[in-house]
Amino acid sequence: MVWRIVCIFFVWIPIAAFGQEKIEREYRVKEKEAPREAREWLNDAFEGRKRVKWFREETSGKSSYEAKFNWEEADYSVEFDLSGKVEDIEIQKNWEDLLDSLRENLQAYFDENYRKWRIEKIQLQFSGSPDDLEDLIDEDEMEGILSRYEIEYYGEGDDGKNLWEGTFDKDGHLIDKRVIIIPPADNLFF
Amino acid sequence: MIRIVWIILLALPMELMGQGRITNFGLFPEFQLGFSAAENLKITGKIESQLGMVDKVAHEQADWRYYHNQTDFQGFIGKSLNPFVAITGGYQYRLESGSDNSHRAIQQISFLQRKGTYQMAHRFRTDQTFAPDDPIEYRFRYQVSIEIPLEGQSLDPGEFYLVVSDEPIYSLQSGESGLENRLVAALGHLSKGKQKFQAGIDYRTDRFFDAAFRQRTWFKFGWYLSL
Repeated sequence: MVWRIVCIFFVWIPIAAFGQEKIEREYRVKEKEAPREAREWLNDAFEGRKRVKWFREETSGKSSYEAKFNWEEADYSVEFDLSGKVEDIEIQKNWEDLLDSLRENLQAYFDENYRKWRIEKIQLQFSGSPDDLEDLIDEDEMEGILSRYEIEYYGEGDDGKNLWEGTFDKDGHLIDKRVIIIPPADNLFF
Repeated sequence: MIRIVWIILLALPMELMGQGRITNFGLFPEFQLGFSAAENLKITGKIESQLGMVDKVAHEQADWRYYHNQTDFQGFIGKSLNPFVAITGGYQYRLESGSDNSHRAIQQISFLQRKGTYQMAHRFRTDQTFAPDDPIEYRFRYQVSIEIPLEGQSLDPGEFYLVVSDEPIYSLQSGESGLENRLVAALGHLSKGKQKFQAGIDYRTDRFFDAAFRQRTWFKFGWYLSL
């Protein structure tokens, strides 16, 4: 009888656990596995860049490729769909790099909504057609480009103490936000 | 990459067996289950067992035999102060071969740091061990761990990771103090459903200032489940 209970327990736990989670995954792939169109677009837009790390991303049923590299002393991340069409470009920024007006708007939002807050990561995101994005990189041409900020931050407010990912417009006004779930780390603490 | 990590982990105990004054090697399985009891309140239960396979004293023949060394049953209740900091209290009951079973009270505070492509964890722990006919043993422990994803820039379900930790332990019993160090290197897998599987080497050294310097090496493998 005891063994039956133990067996049921061990069989039931993995089944119950498997049913709960939305799968989000990012993993490294070789350069040749990335679509040719994506590799060619990257070569045209970012001439003279150094080594590129390619990743495949699977988020909520959507798959994409991502190229990460350093260019002109900044960390870039360029996302492509499965056919190799560029979707957006993200550039990592420091708080000090932002314009004063943008910083003031962001600070006003955080001060208003959180008792305590701390910025963890800032990414400037550009989206638009492949040609417009290439012109942006080659010629600093902003026509047809939508720019936004993706900011990872810790905030203590009325909705608890959480790590958030907020999307802000180019002036620093919130568009949307979601709680970032940190993967379990119990193996490190017990 | 994963093959290289395995070769290093499995070759390490053989290298260590050749050194030191008192050495042993064995298996160290563990199972851990954690779940939220209320908002910011987490219950964790753990069972771990040390099963010895070989003991060796310097200049003597290795003594190969299977034996049960000890089994620990642990329960913890922890409160998250925020997503990165938790305070926890716990209790352990130890079944020990050749000695009296013991009770242990545990207190800890833990910190998690996200560092871009890896995460670092700090654990400060105090514990007090109560065993019949023995004075209370007090210990202070600090553990630092690094968890590095092997297949991307963040650890996602379905991916492997490497975890390395070190923990110096200071103990005090009847005015006598001791020092122990625990170094762990393991390969892990984060599976669907918030469960991790880990296997690696747990290398413990103590009695540093003693004639009988001791090193204990365990092949540690575990299943860590969060519900």
